[in-house]
Amino acid sequence: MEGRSQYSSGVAFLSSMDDQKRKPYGLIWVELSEVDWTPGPCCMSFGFDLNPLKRSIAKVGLINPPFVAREDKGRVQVVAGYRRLMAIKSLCWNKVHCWDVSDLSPIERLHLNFYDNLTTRDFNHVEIGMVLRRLASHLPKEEIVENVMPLLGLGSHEPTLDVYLALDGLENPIKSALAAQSLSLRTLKALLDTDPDTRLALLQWITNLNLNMNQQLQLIDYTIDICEKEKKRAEALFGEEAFLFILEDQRANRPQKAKQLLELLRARRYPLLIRAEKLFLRKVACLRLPKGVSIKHPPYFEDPHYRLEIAFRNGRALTEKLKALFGLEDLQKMGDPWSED
Amino acid sequence: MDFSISRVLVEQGAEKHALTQEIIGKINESHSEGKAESRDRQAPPVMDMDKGSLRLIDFPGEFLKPCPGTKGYICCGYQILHVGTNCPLDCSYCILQAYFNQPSLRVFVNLEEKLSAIGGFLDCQTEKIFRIGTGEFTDSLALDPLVGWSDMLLSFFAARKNAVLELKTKTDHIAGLLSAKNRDRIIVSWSLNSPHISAREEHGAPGLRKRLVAAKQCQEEGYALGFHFDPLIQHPDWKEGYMRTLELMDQMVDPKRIIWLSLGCFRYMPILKRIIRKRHPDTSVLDGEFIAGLDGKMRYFKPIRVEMYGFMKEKLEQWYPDLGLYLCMESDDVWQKSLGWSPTETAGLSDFLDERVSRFF
Repeated sequence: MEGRSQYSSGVAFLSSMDDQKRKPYGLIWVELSEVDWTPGPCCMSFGFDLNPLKRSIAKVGLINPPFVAREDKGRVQVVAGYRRLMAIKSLCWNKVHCWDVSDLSPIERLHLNFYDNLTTRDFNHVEIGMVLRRLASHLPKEEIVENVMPLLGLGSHEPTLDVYLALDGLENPIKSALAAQSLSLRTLKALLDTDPDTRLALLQWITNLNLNMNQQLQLIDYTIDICEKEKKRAEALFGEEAFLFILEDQRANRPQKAKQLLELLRARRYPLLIRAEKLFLRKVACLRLPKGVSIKHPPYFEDPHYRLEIAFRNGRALTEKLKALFGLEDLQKMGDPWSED
Repeated sequence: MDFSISRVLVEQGAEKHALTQEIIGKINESHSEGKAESRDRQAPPVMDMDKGSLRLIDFPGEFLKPCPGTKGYICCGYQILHVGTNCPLDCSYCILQAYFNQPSLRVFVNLEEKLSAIGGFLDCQTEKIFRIGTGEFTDSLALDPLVGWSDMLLSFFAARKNAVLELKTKTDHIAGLLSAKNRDRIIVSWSLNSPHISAREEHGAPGLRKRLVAAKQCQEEGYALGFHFDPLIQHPDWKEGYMRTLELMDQMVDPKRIIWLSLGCFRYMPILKRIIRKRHPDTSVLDGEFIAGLDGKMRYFKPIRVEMYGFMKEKLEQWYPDLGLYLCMESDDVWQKSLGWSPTETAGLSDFLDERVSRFF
């Protein structure tokens, strides 16, 4: 296995090559029409903004030539510098000087691009997935976990690697959202358990309402539970009138819509709990507690104890509030809301 | 024996134990693949429990441990005799699925060597009653025809007046019990459910009738019986479903020789949800209204639990009023609201169950 010993010894491949003995790379002219523009086996770029690079190249020209390899059929494979070439293409250049690394093996080309990128920029999650997947076809999994993941700022954790490896097969809108950080990796992990249609239906809500990570996770959890229980597709669920109303409601802003969406799903997922919460609030409201006094229920009513809070300025105010509380006849009727339902 | 064991892995140190050779001999030596690494770093396929492999292990840890119980709820003060882990059955709700990073059926072949130390521990506390079970991390009888746990343990417990052994199972593997000489201080107990849950969620387990026929045979042979409706699971027509099981019990067993019967609504560690969905996509065990309990585990919303326990109590006590009914891992207020009394704390429930032991043995 090429590269194994270099990672294992903690020395990167390119730096371990004897520069003195290595045949120098040659600069060649590459016609842009010869370039294979599909993201090739070395590509680790996704979700990038070309404009800064275009502006730079337009102003001072191409500072660092890309690395390319000529393939058998005359096509040119991009090894490193995919973005630079894309920028040049969009600037309508016809040809460009590139370093020819056709002599390098596939893993050497991959290493070249990996280290070239590693030292100059941060990878987004999708790009990390691309790096790991490409390396995984050359290196054993344990080596990637132990030696490559730390280079990418990740802990050596195999389940995390599995999440990144699964990224490749995901739909482009999901990948774009992840690259743009509208989706967190935790959310993505939850989405991986769903089918493509469900993922895309959930993504629409996530991006349309700009849900934060906790909201994203809640949305996914509620949706999967409801769909499983009701044997319903997510698209069908979200096609219901109540959900469409939230989307189309002109009066609510995005945070308000996010709240409405999660409340709607929660009420559907936990009908008894929601009913108990409402009954409890109604009962407390009927008590007409003195100002500054509140009664709260424990989370999910699981703990048997309720909580009374009294805000007061001084002992006299406290005494008055306690007296008022003692005078409340209905206070003795307080109890689990479902008991009197 | 229907084990479907495709390979035996003998971990380092296990080869020297007689039980290892006995097990290999029983399975058929041609299936043995020799020694396995003591720490297998090869990850199994996604969430595969590798139930086709049997690992024979020289277990270095404690064999007898108190049940850890759970924070905020009343426990029964049980002791676990750790004879192995995992189980050839594949119940969708099983907690053991959370340990898929330690796959395979695992049998601790040095149990017999450790029994004298366990005996010493029990014998120096004669004033205390030890309720001991092997069914926490595995089914007590599923592998019994192969491993011979009953052979090893029955005489050991019959000789001790301050301990009882409970063998919890969903199987009908009772041949070892029926051929045993010693039956004193042994409780054979069955995990039961509604026919719907049994058929849909308890994959690989014998049906309820088979379990109860086995219970009937054990009772006729003089064994004390226990039953565990744990997990109780809400499903359409659950009341009728559980009633059908009670009717079957009524046909098969004499309630007077039931030492105890526990009820426990389905609860699970949050991590288990994803695993259950992955391993059992058709399951309905996650459909109920689960909330985070005081111990962080997911449980049915309290009024649901109270209703289920209350229903079961009513029907069970109509059948026989002195079944030693208790709740597993429940709070004081749920006890009060559903059973009408509460042991208040773990010590109280321990006393209740110890008293049942004294009465039965």
